[in-house]
Amino acid sequence: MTIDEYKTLYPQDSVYIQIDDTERLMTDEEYETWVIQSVYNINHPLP
Amino acid sequence: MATPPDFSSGAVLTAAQMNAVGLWLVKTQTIGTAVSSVAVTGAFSSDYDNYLITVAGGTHSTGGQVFNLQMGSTTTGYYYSFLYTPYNTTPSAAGGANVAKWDYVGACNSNGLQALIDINSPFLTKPTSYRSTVANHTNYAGNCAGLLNNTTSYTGFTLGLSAGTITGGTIRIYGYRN
Repeated sequence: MTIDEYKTLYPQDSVYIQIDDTERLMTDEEYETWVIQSVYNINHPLP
Repeated sequence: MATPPDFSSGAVLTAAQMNAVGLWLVKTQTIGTAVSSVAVTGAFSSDYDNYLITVAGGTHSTGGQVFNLQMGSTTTGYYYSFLYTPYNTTPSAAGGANVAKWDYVGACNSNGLQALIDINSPFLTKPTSYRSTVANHTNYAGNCAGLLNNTTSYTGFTLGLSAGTITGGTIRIYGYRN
């Protein structure tokens, strides 16, 4: 999966960070970090 | 008194009997909708030295992913070893030394979230350690253990995901009576 494909699957305005009972959208920096880590993990699964 | 205590209907419980209860529910946190991580505050305190964190119910957006765990706001000093097999007899391993979080603390399947995580000494000013089990759908299953190499006292944690989002389900934190 590519970064662009992942961003299409999970647009920034559709993913939330939850703190106890409160949810908020990610900042730009949080979203970019999350996308890069997620795509790496998807592309490198355990055998 | 026998261990475990054998209660009868209508019996008045004594302090000694109640003080023998080994596991107490500290906090319950319902997971929201389409979240990538859940931070839980007020989980650890001087009341207990050791804790059990469970996750049950809910769904993952794709399945086949795993939970990871960070203590407080600490992003360095995590060590872990994960021993698993893809449901055969050939052992495999993954691990991390001085990394940013503990990976492989639970499973995120499309039909349910599953985690059983024992946390040792999170509030004490001692190194914190953990053990967990992971059954990642039909991909693999194994056991993980690790250490956070500092003496920071923690009151909360963040449960993250390897990828995707989760919706619903419940996080429960129990304290093991000292």
